[in-house]
Amino acid sequence: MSSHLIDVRGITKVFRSKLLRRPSTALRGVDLAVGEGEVFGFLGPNGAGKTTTIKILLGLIRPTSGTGEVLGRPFGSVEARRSLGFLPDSPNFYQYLSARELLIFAGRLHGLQGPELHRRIETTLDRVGLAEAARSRQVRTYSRGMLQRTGIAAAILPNPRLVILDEPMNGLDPLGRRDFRDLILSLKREGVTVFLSSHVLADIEQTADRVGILSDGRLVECGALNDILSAGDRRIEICFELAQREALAGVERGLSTLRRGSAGWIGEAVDPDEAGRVVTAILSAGGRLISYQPRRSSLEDFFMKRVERDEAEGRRAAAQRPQSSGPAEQTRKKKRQEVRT
Amino acid sequence: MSHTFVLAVNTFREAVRDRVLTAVLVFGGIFVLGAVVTAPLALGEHQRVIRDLGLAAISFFTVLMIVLLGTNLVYREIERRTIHTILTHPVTRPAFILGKFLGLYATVLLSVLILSAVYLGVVAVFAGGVQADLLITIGLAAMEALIVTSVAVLFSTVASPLLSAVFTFCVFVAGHLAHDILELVAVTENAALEPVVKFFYLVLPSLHYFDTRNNILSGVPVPTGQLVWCAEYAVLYSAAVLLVTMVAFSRRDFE
Repeated sequence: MSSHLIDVRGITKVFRSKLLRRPSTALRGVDLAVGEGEVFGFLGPNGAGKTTTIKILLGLIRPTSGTGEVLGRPFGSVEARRSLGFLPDSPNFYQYLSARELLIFAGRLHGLQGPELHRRIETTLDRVGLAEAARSRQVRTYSRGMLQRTGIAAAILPNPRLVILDEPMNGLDPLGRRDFRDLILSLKREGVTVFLSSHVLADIEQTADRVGILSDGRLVECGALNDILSAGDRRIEICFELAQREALAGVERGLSTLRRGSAGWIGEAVDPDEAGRVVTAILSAGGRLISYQPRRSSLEDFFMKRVERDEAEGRRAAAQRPQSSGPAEQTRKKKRQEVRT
Repeated sequence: MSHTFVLAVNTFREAVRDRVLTAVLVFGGIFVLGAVVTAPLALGEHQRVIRDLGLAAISFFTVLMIVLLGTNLVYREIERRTIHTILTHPVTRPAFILGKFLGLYATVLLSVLILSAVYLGVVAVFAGGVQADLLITIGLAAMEALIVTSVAVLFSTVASPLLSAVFTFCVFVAGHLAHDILELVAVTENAALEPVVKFFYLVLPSLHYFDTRNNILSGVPVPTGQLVWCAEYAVLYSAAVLLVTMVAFSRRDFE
């Protein structure tokens, strides 16, 4: 049995259209492992296969090949689902139920009942910030944000060990997004493992410990967020103040960029050796070092570069192959076009 | 509380809050009461007409309700993707199907009870009083509904609502006619047709055994043995159909 809460090994999924049975490959040999207590950010452009992966983890669809476990059990096993919460992309609930009724229903499916269930429902609805007045109204009257809050409440109601969230920030205003980020971080503090699929890279950057990037059905990058963002980038940002402006010429020589900020001069050295020489120059000129920070690209920069690189590799591989424009290739082309758009 | 029971209660609640149930009950009630107005047109037979029309109305509106509610039952869950939130709870797929079926059948029984109460009231006042055979006939209609509900749930799992409605209604009609067609083929002595008709006769539900309206009209008592046989047959047939439904549902991908 794996020590990971999610362990995916070589998952491939080929869909076939209903009438002509044309194949379309959604996942190509995905390997993935998520450890206990971490927030795992799952990224990828539209059509990369994120939701397909999640549906396989939950047992809603079966992989064409490959295997794996969730919470130490095969995909979709009832035992695993006892300790699992799930918020789908664009959640749909029974329209005739109120949030309270919906949570009673969800709680009973998890074996909760009586005063304990009702107490837990009120606590959970408080936690996700669903207004008291809305709790007894039918969900058909809810806004998108209220539906998301109800969905996350249903997902965390049974105190799961693992929460899988598919695009939870969709349709949320900035306040709602902040609340969701705070909720994810509080779940992490409680030791809950969060598998977070999102397009909103800033939210992933602020919450995730590790990320995986899926592109065209392949996991092209997976690792700790800090390692990924700092890998290959040796630049150092130095903020300093000088007693005399004339000394700036001596310091400037070691910097690739220099500008005046509110706290002082901000420069960028190309590597730590050059940064060391700049710091020596600042101090010997009687200046003051305010900050010294290794440069990190943003997740968005990294994501865009990684996906573009993957697309370029895909194009090269396609060019080397004999002219074949089967349905799967056409689907990939369409996806690439979507990403560029 | 078992998952099946929770799902059944929720399905029952959904059906009760659905306007379809109210509409069917209102029209069914009007039809049963309307027999009082139309019965005098049949000179000297008005009591018989009231009894017959009322029983026909109970049977027709029960099947109509099963078709309208049942054929959407599973399909709508898949189409609206509410199935994604249900099947990610610790619920097995067979428990889901059984819960949906029981919830729908509870709704069907409720409507049979309401329509029967109206009907028996009309019979008591305008058609010379209630006899035990009337209750037996209504009971058989409820047993027949068990079979038709299971068929509707099966089609709802594998086909669109429109196709499901057509298929369910066809099975209902064919189930009533299968015995007559079999006898007809036996008379014509068509060797090629006989095995085909026999196959369908075995596969289709034998619903003609559940129709005892002729006994009521001609005053012939319904044999107790038929009642017991029908009860056993309804349970076994619907269990077999549900088993097929569960297998089909368990193999599905929910994309």
